[in-house]
Amino acid sequence: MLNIMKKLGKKFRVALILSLCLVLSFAGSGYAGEEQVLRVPLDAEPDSLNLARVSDFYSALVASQIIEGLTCVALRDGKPVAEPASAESWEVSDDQLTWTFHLRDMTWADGEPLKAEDFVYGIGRVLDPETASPISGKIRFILNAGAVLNGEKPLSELGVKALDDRTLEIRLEHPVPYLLESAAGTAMFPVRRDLVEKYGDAYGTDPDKIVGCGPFILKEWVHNSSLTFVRNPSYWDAENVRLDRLEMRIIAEETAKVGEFENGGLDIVYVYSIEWVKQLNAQSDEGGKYVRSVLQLPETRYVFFNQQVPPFSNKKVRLAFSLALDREEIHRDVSQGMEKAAYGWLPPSMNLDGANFRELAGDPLKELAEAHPDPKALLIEGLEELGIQGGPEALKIQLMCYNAQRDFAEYLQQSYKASLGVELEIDPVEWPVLQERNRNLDYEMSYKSYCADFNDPSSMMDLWITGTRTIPTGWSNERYDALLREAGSSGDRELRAKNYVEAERLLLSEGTIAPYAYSAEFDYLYSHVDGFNTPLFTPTLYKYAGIRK
Amino acid sequence: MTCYVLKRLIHALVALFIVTSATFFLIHKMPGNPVEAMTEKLPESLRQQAFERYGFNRPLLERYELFWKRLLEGDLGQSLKYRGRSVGDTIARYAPISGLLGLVALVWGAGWGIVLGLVAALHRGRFLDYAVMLLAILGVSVPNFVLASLLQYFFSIRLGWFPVTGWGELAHIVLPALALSFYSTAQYARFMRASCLDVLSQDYILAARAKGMSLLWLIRRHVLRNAILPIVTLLGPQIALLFGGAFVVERLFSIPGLGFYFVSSVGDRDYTMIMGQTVFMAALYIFSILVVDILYGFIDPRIRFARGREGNL
Repeated sequence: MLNIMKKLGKKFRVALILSLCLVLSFAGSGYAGEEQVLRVPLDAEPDSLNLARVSDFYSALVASQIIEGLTCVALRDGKPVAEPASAESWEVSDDQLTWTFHLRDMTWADGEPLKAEDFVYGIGRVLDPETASPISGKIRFILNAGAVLNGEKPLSELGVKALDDRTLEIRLEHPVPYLLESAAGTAMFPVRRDLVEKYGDAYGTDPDKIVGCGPFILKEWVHNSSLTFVRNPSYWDAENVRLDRLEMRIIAEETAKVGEFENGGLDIVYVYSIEWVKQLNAQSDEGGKYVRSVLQLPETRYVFFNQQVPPFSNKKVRLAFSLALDREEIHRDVSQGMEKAAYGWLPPSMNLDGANFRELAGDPLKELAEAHPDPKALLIEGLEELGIQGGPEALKIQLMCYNAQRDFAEYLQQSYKASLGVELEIDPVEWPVLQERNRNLDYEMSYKSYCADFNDPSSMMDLWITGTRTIPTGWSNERYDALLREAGSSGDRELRAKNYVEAERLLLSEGTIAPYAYSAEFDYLYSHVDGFNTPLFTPTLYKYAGIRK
Repeated sequence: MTCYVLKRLIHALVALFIVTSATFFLIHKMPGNPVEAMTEKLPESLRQQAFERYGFNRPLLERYELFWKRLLEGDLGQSLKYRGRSVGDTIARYAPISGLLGLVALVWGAGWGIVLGLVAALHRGRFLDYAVMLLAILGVSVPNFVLASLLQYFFSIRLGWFPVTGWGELAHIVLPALALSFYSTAQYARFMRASCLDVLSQDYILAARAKGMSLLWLIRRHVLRNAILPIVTLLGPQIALLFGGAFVVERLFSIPGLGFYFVSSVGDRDYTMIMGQTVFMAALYIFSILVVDILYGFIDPRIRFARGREGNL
């Protein structure tokens, strides 16, 4: 080899040596030792740790390891429980409208004391119309939040007040049974005013531009590649944090992610495609290498219709399209048994004041199907009412879909052809286009999924109140609006239950949307991972995790 | 020569202006808007405010003017998706990663390509020639991401010789660079073979051989020097592609290069990021072609003389 190099001439030797140097200078060093290290995947780069400005799941997950709110949510015997975090204790007034939190004597990671004022500032930023925070909807229950957000009242009238350095008072618009869970979310995180002012727009974009008060310190963030956390020695509960280091690896490709997991480069993996679920299930059954954890997400998949234009302006047509969906077939064939069939809008993981909502409300779509055993006849009736000639066979419906989820569109196409005789034309678009056309009511039908922000029916039911334009369908129903307004502002459990159950029935019997599946997430871990804690409405906290020796 | 360089420089700037402007208008005419994603769950009034804040309700020409004003001040703006991150910083931080990967791939590709091309030319019509050409055809026709997936599957996932994903250690660069270099290896091999054959058939080679010069001496003295010129033509565009030609491979191996932003910013309608990338890549591409053009003159005096005459006209 050397001989050849010599003969190839000086220039080539230089070039070869240069390229070798480049490669070598790049070499890093590995780790060794007995420390506890957990390596987990992240599917995408977090947008920013300037939390008031972003709404993505990844940012919240990362931030929740380095900052802690008043409470934190842990799973205890499978149930989410809000535990004291930055707040050591709290009281609530008899009318359930005023909460007083007593903060711990603790500091931020840079040694500054954590003050009640930091919470006032943090919450205020989320509700300040100047921020236009995409997560403001999560805490609109705070007194005057809506008015402040709409610019009708100044920020100073928001119901969040520091009574002294370590006492925080939060006043609410109406009783909020899930407040302690919401208090663990990023929308109620404390924020350091001095740092936000110091770094301006760059706040939270890199580890040196944010300071936390949580169990870990973000040591390194290589955008689009990895995040490294180390234990925060000044954290109030540092002695119970077992991990010395937490590594998040950003891997977008599922094959690479699973490969990394199977080769031992990751301790945990989350998978979405059926092929991988099947393969990993086989290895996590009795006696397998991995431990499986299936999460029933607070998320529902649904088909929705633009009701401003025929034929979906007709209730019977919509209902026919909803009832014609064979949800068992979708469960069995499309999701291969991974996701449960949905017969209601709110997912089974949703609670109403501590009671499971689905148990209260039953399966409205099953009842509707019994009342209307022949969807095609219903469709024909609806078309006649609209004066559309030619029956279902003459219909041509445009099905707008996100281009990355086209498979389901193809299923719908053949399924509606078989059940209703209707021709569907698939119109695949990019995500921003789907959002824009949805917003402008420039579509006929489409499908999406919606994940609840907090553990209360209002999180998903309020979407369909007249004027809420998160997923515009053009539907408006006075009775529905009234039921929700009453339930949302009441603390009366029975009334709330009655209203939400009735409203959901109304929503589904009007065929506004056609839910078809409740989403699930499949996690696999090595058995040496301990304390993997996955609450549904707040991010996983790795402060409970450890490695079994 | 100076006049020639100046003229080419002006051409380059005009080309840059056209590319940038065309991209600007095209992306703004594309349906979808980044503000939709930010404001999905906000009340209507706040949504309108957000549109105003980002200037999306202003006429397109006004926004275009503003874009140039900022660009001339050296400000590429902030990402609309990764809030608070400066586009300029992002490019400055992550372009070197793509650049390094691309450079290693290019050096490997060019190195192997030249050697293989030479070998094929010297063994014309024999087994080695056909083997190299088969490899070259494969290299040109198999997309790099297919090769990358295969390499990743066999060498990382199955055999465990290399890390599956990641960046920061020597081992991380091997497979992606190999996948990326395959195409250039093939291209260089083909070019090198052709130009070697061309040189080898010249009379002066025959004369040199007749004088009893050894084959290696011939290669060093005559063949390489003369055959390398067409190779330089290939280099220009490839220097620019170093930075952005690898996006799928980068994604497969989770390499934090610029390629990710190049693709995702379009999907996210992250206008500022798209524009920043376009300006960067277009400038790089145009100027690397310019540099290669000028380099020609140094490598081959014939070109210099021809242009010298042109310049004096």
